[in-house]
Amino acid sequence: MSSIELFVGFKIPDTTAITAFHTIEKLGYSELKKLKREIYYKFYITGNADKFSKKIAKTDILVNANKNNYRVKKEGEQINRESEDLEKIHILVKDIGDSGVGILKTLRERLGLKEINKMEKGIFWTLFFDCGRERAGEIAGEISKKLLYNENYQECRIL
Amino acid sequence: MKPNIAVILFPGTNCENEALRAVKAAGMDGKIVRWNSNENLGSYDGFILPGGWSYEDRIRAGIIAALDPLMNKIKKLSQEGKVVLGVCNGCQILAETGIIPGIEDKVQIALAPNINPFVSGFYCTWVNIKNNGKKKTAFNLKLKDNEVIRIPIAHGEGRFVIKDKLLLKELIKNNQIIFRYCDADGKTEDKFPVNPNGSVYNIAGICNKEGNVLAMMPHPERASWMRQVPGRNNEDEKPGPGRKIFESIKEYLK
Amino acid sequence: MGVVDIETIEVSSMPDKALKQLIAKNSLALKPSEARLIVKLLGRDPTLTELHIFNIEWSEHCSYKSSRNILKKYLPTEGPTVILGPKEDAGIIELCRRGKDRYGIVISHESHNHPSQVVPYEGAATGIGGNVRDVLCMGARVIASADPLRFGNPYGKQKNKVRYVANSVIEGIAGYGNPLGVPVIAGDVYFSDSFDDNCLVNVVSTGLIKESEIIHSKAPKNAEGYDIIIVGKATDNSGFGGAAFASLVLDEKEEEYNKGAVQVPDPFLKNVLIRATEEVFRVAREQGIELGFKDMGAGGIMCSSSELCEAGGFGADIELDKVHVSMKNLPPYIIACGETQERFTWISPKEFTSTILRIYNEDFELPNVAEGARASVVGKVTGNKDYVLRFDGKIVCNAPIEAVTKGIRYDRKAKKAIKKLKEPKLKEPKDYNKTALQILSHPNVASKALAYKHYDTEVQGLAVIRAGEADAGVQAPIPGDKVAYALSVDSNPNYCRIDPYSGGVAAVAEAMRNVAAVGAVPYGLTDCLNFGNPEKPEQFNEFVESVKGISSAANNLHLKGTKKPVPFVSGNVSFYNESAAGKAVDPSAIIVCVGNLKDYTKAITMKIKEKGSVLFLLGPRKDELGGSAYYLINKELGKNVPKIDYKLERGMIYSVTDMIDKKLLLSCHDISDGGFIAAISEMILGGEADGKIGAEIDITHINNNLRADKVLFSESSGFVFEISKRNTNKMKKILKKYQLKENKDYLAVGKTIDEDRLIVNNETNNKNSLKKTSIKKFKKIINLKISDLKKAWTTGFVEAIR
Repeated sequence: MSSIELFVGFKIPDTTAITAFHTIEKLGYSELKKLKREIYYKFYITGNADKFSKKIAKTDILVNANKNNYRVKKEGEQINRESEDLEKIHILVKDIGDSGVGILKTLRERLGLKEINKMEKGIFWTLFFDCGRERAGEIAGEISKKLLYNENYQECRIL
Repeated sequence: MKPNIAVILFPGTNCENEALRAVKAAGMDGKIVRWNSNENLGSYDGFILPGGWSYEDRIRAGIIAALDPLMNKIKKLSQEGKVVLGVCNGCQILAETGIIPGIEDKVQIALAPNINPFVSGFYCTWVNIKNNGKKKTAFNLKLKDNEVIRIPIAHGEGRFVIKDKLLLKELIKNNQIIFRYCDADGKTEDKFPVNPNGSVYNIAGICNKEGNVLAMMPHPERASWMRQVPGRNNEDEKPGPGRKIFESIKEYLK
Repeated sequence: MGVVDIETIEVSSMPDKALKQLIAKNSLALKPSEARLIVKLLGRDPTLTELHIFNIEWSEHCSYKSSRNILKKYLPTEGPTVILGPKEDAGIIELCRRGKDRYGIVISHESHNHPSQVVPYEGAATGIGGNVRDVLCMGARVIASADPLRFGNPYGKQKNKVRYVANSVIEGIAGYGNPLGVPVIAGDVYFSDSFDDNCLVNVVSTGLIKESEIIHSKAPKNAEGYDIIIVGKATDNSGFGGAAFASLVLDEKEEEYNKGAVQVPDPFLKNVLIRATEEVFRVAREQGIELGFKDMGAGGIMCSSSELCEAGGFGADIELDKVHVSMKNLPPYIIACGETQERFTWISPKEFTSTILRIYNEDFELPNVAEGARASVVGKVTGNKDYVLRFDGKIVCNAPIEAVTKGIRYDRKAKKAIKKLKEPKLKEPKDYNKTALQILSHPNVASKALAYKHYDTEVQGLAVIRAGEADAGVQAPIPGDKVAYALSVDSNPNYCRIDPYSGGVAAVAEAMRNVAAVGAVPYGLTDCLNFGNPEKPEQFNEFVESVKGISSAANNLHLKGTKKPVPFVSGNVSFYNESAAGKAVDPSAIIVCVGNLKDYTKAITMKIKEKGSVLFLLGPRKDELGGSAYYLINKELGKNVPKIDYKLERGMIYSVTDMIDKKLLLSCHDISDGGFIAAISEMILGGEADGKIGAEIDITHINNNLRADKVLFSESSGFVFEISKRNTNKMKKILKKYQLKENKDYLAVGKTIDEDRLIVNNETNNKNSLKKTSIKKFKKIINLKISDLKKAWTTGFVEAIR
């Protein structure tokens, strides 16, 4: 069994990300310069990963080409840490126990993607800071706790 | 002198008008106060955080309003004994500020996405809730113990979740769980549709230890007149099931 | 001739071929002949901005160029219940008189079909957004919405796409209406493969207004020199050309290209805008200031400002640089014509402008609510009749304002299509139980609870009867006042496919029956007309026939107590609903009826209330199964659609409303999809499908010339109602008053019973009766447990969109 991660972003303005950015600004974190939000899916599948990647990206209930862009990451691929001016920190927030049950059923039954055994769903934030990596990581932790997740039903991983 | 209640309007709130009507129908004075108002909030006897979608529930329901400086003021005023009723979005805001349950000064509970086998996401329907009369609070003085109230819910993130199991035990022990979902006969079955959203222990409303702050998901202002209750429109302007919650506030502030 | 400071496009010297290329290069939808007409109107060649302006103003969506002549010819739009007819952004129907003033229900009814097919969530959401603005801009508080929806075949070739669209549209409506705080009070959903590639998403919004407080969509008297203020979201390029886009036919290959045409909904901003705007209303009314107000939809700033000023007899002079934008380097034609959502235009006397700016920008902090959102003064109302736009110090548009707003009209050709329709020869069902359950579980008949439970029906606290409980939603909009209004949306695509004329008549009649079934008197109508390509004579003919049909019904189903029509006060036309393959959607004249209830305590639902009551059928059963659910489950269309006998129909509607007013009826349901059997099943179940009282019916004496299945499943117009035995004499007096005859027009068909079953008996002693069944030995042709009815009815729609 292998795993595929799908990150779905927005071609049209993402009002949630914009509001999140301004809220973080108001909290005093001027080091944050940019913020991006993607909807995160992780699929545990049997079968050919490449074939599945192509199929899943064409499923309109997950990706509507008119408003979404997307990227697919296969198991083992590294996170892109290409050098930019800004320090990039990723934060993955998932609902505990949320296996996207409703969507999973639709994907497997209605859309015939029976190769999916299990799936996870969450929000993938990318924060861009103009400060050192260590400080950026600290801030990311504070922002996560204050704003991005509630530990009573969500879990958070900083990457 | 009638008690004076401020109905707080955040950007995105949408139940403020009917909340104000319910306040007045119970014999109190009231006013809608914007989140950015310069008014001296201390002059009010109580506050309602009404339902709606403050900040469109972005990131998650209630979190952005919870971070508004206004909520620090409300927290202080609640600690001074003022009455605070949070309904639906107001309930979510109180949870995200830690004002409810108020055992420790931090966020201890959450209102998570509904678990509902029929409708995923936002769900609007009429339910029953039962009063825990063992604790007399500002919100149930006029209710009998185990009294069943017919009342509507309308939310997508209304499932009470408490990570710390000991905390849940403590809240039960303290009788801070004032309202629980039940059937028409008062049985608190932990199954859909009696429990419409998967809330732990069928919780519909939690108060603080002192009993002057309540966070509840159902909407008492939408059941203040009998004509609002499905099938009871022929009973016209008679007080509805939710009225007693507001009348309790008036009684408490006497 | 209006002087401009920039280059003009040399249309006048271009041959048609070059002109076509230029038009295509600029993504315009103009025809060369239309481009040349612009030259004539301006007296010179147009600038690029002017070309774009006329492109939008002359799109079908904005100008109604193919439809206006037909609408004017046929639709009745006047009457004693009309406070404002279809002249401005929304119509207004009388609610009640209180003291010296009149309260009205403001109503607007529109479509957002093409965007919803491409990005269903955003399309549906912005559909509601735009429609709500139309009501708000009349000065009203928005109090409800309704959504008639048409999707493709959920079991057909496009089933995945259809289900995706259906689910996303429902989520879009919820995702916008719920945060806004506007409850849904009515709606319907139909599935048909004609909508596979082109769904229909119609939206209706209502509001409450006092006649003395109406704010008009025109610059007030003496407005020369007044400020033109735009409020709301910062302008960007989103939705650019949307009006023209809606008038082009959708092509699969072009979907990627439609990126710029996606309109982004922001219900959060709209929520705050509504509250800020209501504050402006309040202060303006307090100070006695008269303002002009209009929402921005298709054609953005250009459309709203030109229409506001022209309607008042003025011109306008606007500096596009003053428009608050969210993108740099937008060319003037996008600033002027872009369709960014959540925006309005005010016309205000200079001394009140600072108040407007303060309320939006400071009191309600628009800039903090959405990036770049604010209120800005962008121009002024002028005394000449020119429409002038300036950009970067230069005049980029200078046209006679009447030329801009007048639009163009075409007289399209209509040709009747030859349809090969015939009535099928169906064998009588061997198992009526099975057939009845199949009908109940048909997605068009089944309970739509899965959809409307997503919608907040209780917000604002005005609901008296909500979705699912009865045939129409009912609201008591004035707190403390007994007056109420009812609303229903209707149109059966299968009837219309067979015969658009009769389908139109049936839609109006059904909408009226639906409000009557809760006790409301039909007071007004709206229509949203969704059709194919008007340049194809056979498709245009469907439009003409539908308009004739709905007009005929409105004219003949008189306003109660008069011989006047029930008028249309608002509406919309949407053409080009077809796919690139050229197949048009089923002709869909979707009708809304608004009914009036003097006392909401008398409104009743469809759920059976008591055991031992008598059940009556009102409305003869006829051999009219064309387009019926019964034929559909047998994979037939048929030919004999229900036809309306106006005298009978009037009698039925008036008598039902009288009986409910006199508190004689316990429950009432109109007969439509699924016929009598669906009606009685739904009455047993009730909206929440929790009914426990059964019914025993005897169809022996209903129309002996009709076979039992046709009696049960015919969708001929009518009602089923429940009444206490002790009230039947009073009931008969009322029915007699309207010349309805027992046994011919109505009869007792059964009673409610202390058993959880639906039983239908058919005595076939009379061997001359055509209603003999092959199952001679069986008297009970239907014997179903309520739990069976419930299962079929509550799963049909759920299964279809899973």
